Amino acid sequence: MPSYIIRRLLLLIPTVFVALSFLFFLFFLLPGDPVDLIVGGADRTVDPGVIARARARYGLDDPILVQFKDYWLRTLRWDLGESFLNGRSVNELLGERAVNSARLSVWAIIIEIIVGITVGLISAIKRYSIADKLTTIGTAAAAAVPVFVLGFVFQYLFAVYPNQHNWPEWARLRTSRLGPDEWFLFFIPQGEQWRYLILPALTLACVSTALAARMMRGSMLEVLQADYMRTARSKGLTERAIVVRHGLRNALIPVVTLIGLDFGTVIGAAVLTETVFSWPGLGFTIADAVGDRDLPVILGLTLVVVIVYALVNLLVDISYAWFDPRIRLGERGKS
Amino acid sequence: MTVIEPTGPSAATSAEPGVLQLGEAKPLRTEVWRRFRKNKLAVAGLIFLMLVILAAIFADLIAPYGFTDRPLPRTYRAGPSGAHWFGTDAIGRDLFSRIVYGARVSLKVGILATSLSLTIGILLGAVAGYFGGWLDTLAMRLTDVFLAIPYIILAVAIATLFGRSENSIIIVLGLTGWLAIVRIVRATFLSLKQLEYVEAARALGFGRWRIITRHVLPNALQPIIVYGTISVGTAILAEAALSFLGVGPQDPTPAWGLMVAQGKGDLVSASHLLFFPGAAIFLTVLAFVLVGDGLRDALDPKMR
Amino acid sequence: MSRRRSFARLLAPLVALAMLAAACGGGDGGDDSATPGDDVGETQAGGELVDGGTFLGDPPEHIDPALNSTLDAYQVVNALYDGLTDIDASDPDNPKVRPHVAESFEANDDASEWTYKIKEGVTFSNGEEILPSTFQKSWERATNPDFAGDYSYLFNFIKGGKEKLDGKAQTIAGVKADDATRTLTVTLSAPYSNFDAVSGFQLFMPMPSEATSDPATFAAYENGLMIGNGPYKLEKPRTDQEIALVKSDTWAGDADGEKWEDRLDKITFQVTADADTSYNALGAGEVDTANIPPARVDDAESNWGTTLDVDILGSYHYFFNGRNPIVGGEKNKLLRQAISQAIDRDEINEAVYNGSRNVSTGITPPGIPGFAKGICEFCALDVKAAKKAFADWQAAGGKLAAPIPIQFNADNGHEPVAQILIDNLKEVGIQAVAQPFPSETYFSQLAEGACVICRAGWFADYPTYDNFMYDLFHGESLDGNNYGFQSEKFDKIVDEGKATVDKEKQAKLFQEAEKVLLNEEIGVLPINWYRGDYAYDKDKIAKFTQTNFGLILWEQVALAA
Repeated sequence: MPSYIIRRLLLLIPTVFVALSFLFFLFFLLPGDPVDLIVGGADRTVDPGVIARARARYGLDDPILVQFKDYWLRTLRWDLGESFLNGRSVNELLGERAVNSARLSVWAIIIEIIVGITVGLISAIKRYSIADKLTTIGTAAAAAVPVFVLGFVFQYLFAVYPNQHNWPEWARLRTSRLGPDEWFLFFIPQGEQWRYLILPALTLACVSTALAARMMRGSMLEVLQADYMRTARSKGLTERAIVVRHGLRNALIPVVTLIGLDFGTVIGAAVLTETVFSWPGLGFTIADAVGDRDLPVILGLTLVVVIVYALVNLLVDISYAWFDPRIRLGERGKS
Repeated sequence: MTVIEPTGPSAATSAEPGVLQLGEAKPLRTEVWRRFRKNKLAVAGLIFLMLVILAAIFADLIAPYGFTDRPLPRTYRAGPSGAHWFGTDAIGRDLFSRIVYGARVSLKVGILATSLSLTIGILLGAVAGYFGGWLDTLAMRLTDVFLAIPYIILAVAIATLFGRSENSIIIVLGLTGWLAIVRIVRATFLSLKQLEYVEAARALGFGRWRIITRHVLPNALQPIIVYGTISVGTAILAEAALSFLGVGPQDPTPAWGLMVAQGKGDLVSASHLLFFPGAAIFLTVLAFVLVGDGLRDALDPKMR
Repeated sequence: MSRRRSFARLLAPLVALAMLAAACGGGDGGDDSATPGDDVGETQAGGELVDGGTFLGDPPEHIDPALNSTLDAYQVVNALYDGLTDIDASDPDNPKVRPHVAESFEANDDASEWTYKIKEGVTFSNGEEILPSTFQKSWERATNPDFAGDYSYLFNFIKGGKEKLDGKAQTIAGVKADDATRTLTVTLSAPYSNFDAVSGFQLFMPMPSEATSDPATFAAYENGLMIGNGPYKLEKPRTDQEIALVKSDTWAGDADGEKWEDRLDKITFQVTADADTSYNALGAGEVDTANIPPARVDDAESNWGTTLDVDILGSYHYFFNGRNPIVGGEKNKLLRQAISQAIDRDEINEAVYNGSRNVSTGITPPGIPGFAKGICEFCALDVKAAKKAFADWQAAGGKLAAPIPIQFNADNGHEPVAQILIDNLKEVGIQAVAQPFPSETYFSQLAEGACVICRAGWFADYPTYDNFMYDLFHGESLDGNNYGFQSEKFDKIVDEGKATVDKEKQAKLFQEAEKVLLNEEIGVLPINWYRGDYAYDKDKIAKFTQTNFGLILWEQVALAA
């Protein structure tokens, strides 16, 4: 097992290298002169003298390979540079943003796990009942709703409407922004913070919860029919014991995979939610950074995302071993 | 964007061989259809999809106006009425007509994107799962790299390179959608490889390719079909998201996602501009999901 | 952003400069306000305000006056700094330049040399006194080749400015500062009678010595606790989420000397992702001001206080590329005329902007000194005349091989306008098609000659007629080159106008130039003029004024009692 972990961590290095280098060259491939954009050429025609000076200042007049080499040398020292746009340290920027995204994602995933797994479990056990039918439609519907529409609807229902109709203060939620930024134990919102957190977390959780529920149901159903379950039943164990001790663990495997994937893709999904709710996270940052050709931010952010994602995946794969003792990690044929 | 589920434990690990029946190359079509029919939700979904497809094909006949026409008398952001069943949009175009034409765009994006991602995913997954070894590692590393690059960056970059249109969205979705299917296919191939009948076939001297296509692949079809169906739905949803972010088809293309993105400010004042395209997306995606569910239940040999 | 953009980005950038010189601190004095009919109820002193209507989508890139080029950030710069001169826009049709940090100023006979006398006792919020040398050092900072920003080319107006920017000189030759006599003398590279207005622009504002002493610290200054001489100062360094300002006790007052002691104690500018989000936040009571998305204009008028009745000095128009064979040149004049007369500008205003813009009758907007209504002969809808012009053009050999592209930057709300244009042209028999460009590369592609009929816009940097005529259409200006407008006759009249000191004569000359532009050469398609776009909680805020430069007079904002 330890060698497996080490191997996985080592494999992280080429992944990071390839991904970031790809983006680096993509940046230069994109049409439009990055320097022109940096100095504001997206809004107006810029004096060529200004562009020339900016180019020299950002080192963008060096040949590409030289810039590439410089970039990697700096990155190895974890000097992620400064944003082209406003000169802020990328480290600082990412630190702030990543923390906000993490908090939002964690809560979305908690909701996903609790609600999703429970709902999926129930509908699998009580198959063909009314509850099952309802959850089937419900989860399908939840998976089909466009996230950003949902966000606006929530904003209106829970924040704008109550304000216009003078609901009591305790019943109102907030439309946007981070809020007082008060947290207990890093993840638990304190004071007013939860009012700012709920709506974006629910919106972000919506689709993935639906999918988790459906996945859970599907895999639980399969597991319930499996041979080893029949064996357990024939041994006389109660249905409950069967479900919990034998079925659940196996059924959870794909769900855990899904959640692991979610953690990584949450950046993409989060772009929409963070934009609608003005939640200052990574997703929010990244869309603008590409449009603005803010290379240091793009690369720095991707670096963080890749590493976090790889680590989470590693954890997920390790957890397989716990869920299904038959799985031996590190065997040939498995990643 | 989150991933659509693979089918079950068999997808992620090499579970017991009992998961797939020996010797059954394909479930019987009529049997499948019979089971499918029993699932009322799935049938409802299928009917709705037929409607959408018909709307796409016969849009010229069904829509009262062209999707760029601004009929007189001019009304802007008007609600549903006798003259305009779904109302009019910000510059006076008939919303019903635009939604009908929009079916074409959505279906085109959904189907082509899914086809692309399925092709890539199946190829890679089959190669990785069946041949194993360094090919497998390479494929998995490739997956990791692609997963690492934030989807949004790719989407914006591709839109910038190829222009903002349905085609860019198809490319983006195709290039990122294979990630989920690869694992499913790979896992299936991994488990099937060990099966006795495959070994037997090899002992008998059947070529590898024949084994893959005649024996292994058909059993992997079930998750692929289910995944593919649902994936068309998510592609349509993704198109809406990308339009919201400004990366997709542009006006005057009547893409549903674009219409929702344009209408988001109208939640209070002209909600029909948001509601109708939103409902179109929602119902179509829902239909795909229900049909996909139904197919999965119908195709699974173990489910009664 | 991408792409997906808000209304304020529509206003400010996209085309040009939402920069406004003057009004740094005190547009008008006493009871006059920029908007007519400002009936203010009972007010209270001080208070706090949260603004959600300025920064939509992104935090400002720059709030350093030497670097800033956007209107949204200018709201903040304006509250933090005061410049040499200031624009009095109390009479919106007749803005006047008057001294602010300068006690007085005068030009020599041919307007090639300007002398400013700096007021005594004006200080920065840290107590440092402002002297002529302060200005000189600030200008040297702004022209440092490694630091200079978008607007630095304005220093070309000053003798030696260009050489300094190009790195050929160490200092700006034409600037002389005499602290003993409190005199700042500026020699221009060419006579320019409107330099007084230009010198009040943010680029020329004074910076404290902590900012000007060490070139290595120039760029980072705006990320720290900047010190200024305006009615407000930074409470803490800006973050990506907000910029917090507090009342500055050392403020010397506006251009009339009025100190506005009862002004707000604290103003917090919040960055929201989206115009709709900000408007929703106003509805939810989380901010006190918001931007009005075009779709919510009616809603805003019924529920909130708005600045919709302010005429902003900005124009929204489409250029004809003079060098393009399809629409440009002498031979296509009738085609351009047909196009211009086919457009239903009222419909665009109603459908796309909910009536919140003013339909153009020329390029230069009302409020610019010298403005005359109805200069454009072909800007009113006349389908018959358009058809005839088109037929005449075809009779003379004109032929359209393909639909004419109507170009604009995508995702900034121009799509519906383009669609209506295309429809209008179809009525007349002219085939056109929309050609959106990605926002990021729009202007650079235009610079490479891609324009056929391309959308553009312009906000006045300072209230002068030549800011529109010269900067947009003169053969020597940057933009002029992009859009291929070439007319020696026009250039000559504009040059003459710029050098003319007599304001009445100057106005006549510029009007004549505009007539050449619009009626003889038909070089551009004016569409509409901007109006104010802020909504505010009128139960909380009693007085909220937006000048026709788009600036909010923050020191005059007052809360209801």
